[in-house]
Amino acid sequence: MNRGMTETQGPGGPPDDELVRRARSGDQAAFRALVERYEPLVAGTVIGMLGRGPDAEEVGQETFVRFWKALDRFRGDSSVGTYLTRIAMNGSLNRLRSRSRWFRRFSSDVPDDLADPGSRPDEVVGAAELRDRLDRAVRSLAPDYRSVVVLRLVQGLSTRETAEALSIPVGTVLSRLSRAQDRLRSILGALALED
Amino acid sequence: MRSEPPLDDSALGRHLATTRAESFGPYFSDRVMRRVAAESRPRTGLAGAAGIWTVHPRLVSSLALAFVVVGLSWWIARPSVFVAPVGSPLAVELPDGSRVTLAPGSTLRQASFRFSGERRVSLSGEAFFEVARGDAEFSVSTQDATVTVTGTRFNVRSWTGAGGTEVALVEGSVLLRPAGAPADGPALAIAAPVALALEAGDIARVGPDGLVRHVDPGHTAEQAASWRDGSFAVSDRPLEAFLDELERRYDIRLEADPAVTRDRTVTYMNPGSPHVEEVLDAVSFALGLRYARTADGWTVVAADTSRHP
Repeated sequence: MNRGMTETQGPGGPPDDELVRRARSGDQAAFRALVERYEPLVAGTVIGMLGRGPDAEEVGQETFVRFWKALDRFRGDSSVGTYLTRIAMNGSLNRLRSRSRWFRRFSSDVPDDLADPGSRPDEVVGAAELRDRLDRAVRSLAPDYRSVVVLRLVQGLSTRETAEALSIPVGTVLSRLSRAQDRLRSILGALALED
Repeated sequence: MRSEPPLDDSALGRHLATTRAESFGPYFSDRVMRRVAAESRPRTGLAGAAGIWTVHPRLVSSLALAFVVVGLSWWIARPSVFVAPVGSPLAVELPDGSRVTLAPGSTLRQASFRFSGERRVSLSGEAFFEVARGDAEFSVSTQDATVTVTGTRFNVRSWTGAGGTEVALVEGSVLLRPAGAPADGPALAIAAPVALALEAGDIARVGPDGLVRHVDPGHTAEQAASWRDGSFAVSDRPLEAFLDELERRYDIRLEADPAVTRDRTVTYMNPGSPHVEEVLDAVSFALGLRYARTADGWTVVAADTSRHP
C-alpha cells in the first residue's frame, strides 16, 4: 500500500499551493489547515522514530513551526508532504542523537531490551502485545535502518519517495530495507511472520 | 539488478503498517498554532529577565547555589561511559583495577564504584574483561544476560539485534544468567537452565528465548577474544552480522545486495591482522560472492546477479 505524499488537495479543501501562498502572507487559518492535513504524516514519521511521548509531541510541533518559519523559502520544488517528512525525520534523528548522549552519560541501566524471558517467539499473542513488540523491535534498529522502515513499511511511502525524503539513493533504501527486515525477523522470530 | 521486495505479500510489512500512528492527540493543531503565534510576536528580549534579577535577587542566588550543589554531587557520583569509536578498540582501566578492552563500536557504562560498594557495568557490543580480585562481586549486564564474577578473564559479545549474548571464559569462573533472573536462583537445572556456572575454556550463550546453554562454536574461548589483536575467529555467523562487524572494525561502509544477505553464514579464521580486502576476498570466494569499491566503502553482490533478479 502506497499512501504517498503527492496529494496536494485534501477532501473538500483548497490545494496545498494555495494554502501555502495564503499562509505566506500571514493567514494563520490557512496554515492551520495545512497542520491538520499533514498531522497524520508527521505523526506517523515522528512517533515511528521516537515512540509516543513528550519528545514526539515536541518534534512534531517543531516540524510545523520550522515549516512556518521557512514558508518564504519554500518554492514547491518538492511536495509539502516530502518537505515536512524531511523536517520531521531530521528532527527525530537529532532527538535520537541527543537521547543517546543523555542516556550514555546519565543512566547506568541497560537499554530497553526486547528479551522477554516469560515468552517464546512462536507463542500466540494479542494484537496489542504484537503491536508493542513490533514498536520496540523497530526502535531497536539503528537510526539509518529505522528511518527506512518507518517511511517505507510503516508509512507506506514508495521506495522513491523514501529515498527523496531521506536524501539517499534508491539502491541504499533497498539495501537498508532488506537488512532491516532480516534483523526484524531475527528479533521477532516467528511472531511477525504469522497472520 | 535490484528489485523491490514483495512488501504487499509480506506479513512483516502488513503487521508493521498497523503500528502507524495517525495523530499526536487532541488539539495538536491548537498547540502548534499557539507556538506559531508566539513566533510571530516581537520578542521582549532581556527586559523580562532583568526584571527577575531586580525583583527576586535572593531567589535567583538560591537557585544558582542549589544548581551548583546538585551539579557537584552528580559530578562526584557520576557514572562513567566509555565508547570505542568504530575503527579502533579502546582499553579502559576501571577504578578497582579491572581492565576492559572494548571492541570498535562498543559502549561500556560504569556505575559509580565509590558510593555503592558494587562493581557493576553494562555493555552494548563486545568486550574482553580482566577483572581484578576484590571483595565485591563484579557484574556485567547486557541486553539479555548478566555475568557475575569475582576475578577472571572473559569475553562478552552482545550486539543489539545479534540474537543473544555469548560469553567465552578464558580463565577463572563466572556465573551466567539471563537478564532479570534472580541472583540467588539455582546455578543449573537440567531441563531449562536459568543460569550456568562456567569454567575456563567454556563458551555459553543466553539466547533471545532467555535460555542459557553451552555452545561449541568451533573455536576456543581464547580465540573468541582474539579480535583484540586484529584476528578473526568467526564460526557460522550470519553474513549480515559479519558485515556489521567489518563495518565497525574497519570504519567502512558496506552495502550488500538484498539477494546475498539471507540464509548465509560465515566461518572465517585468520590469526593475522588482515586488510579488509583480504577478508572480503576470502569470504566472497567461500560464499560465491563478488565485492567492489564504492565511493564510501564496498558493496557485496552475488557472483552471478542474473540468478537474483
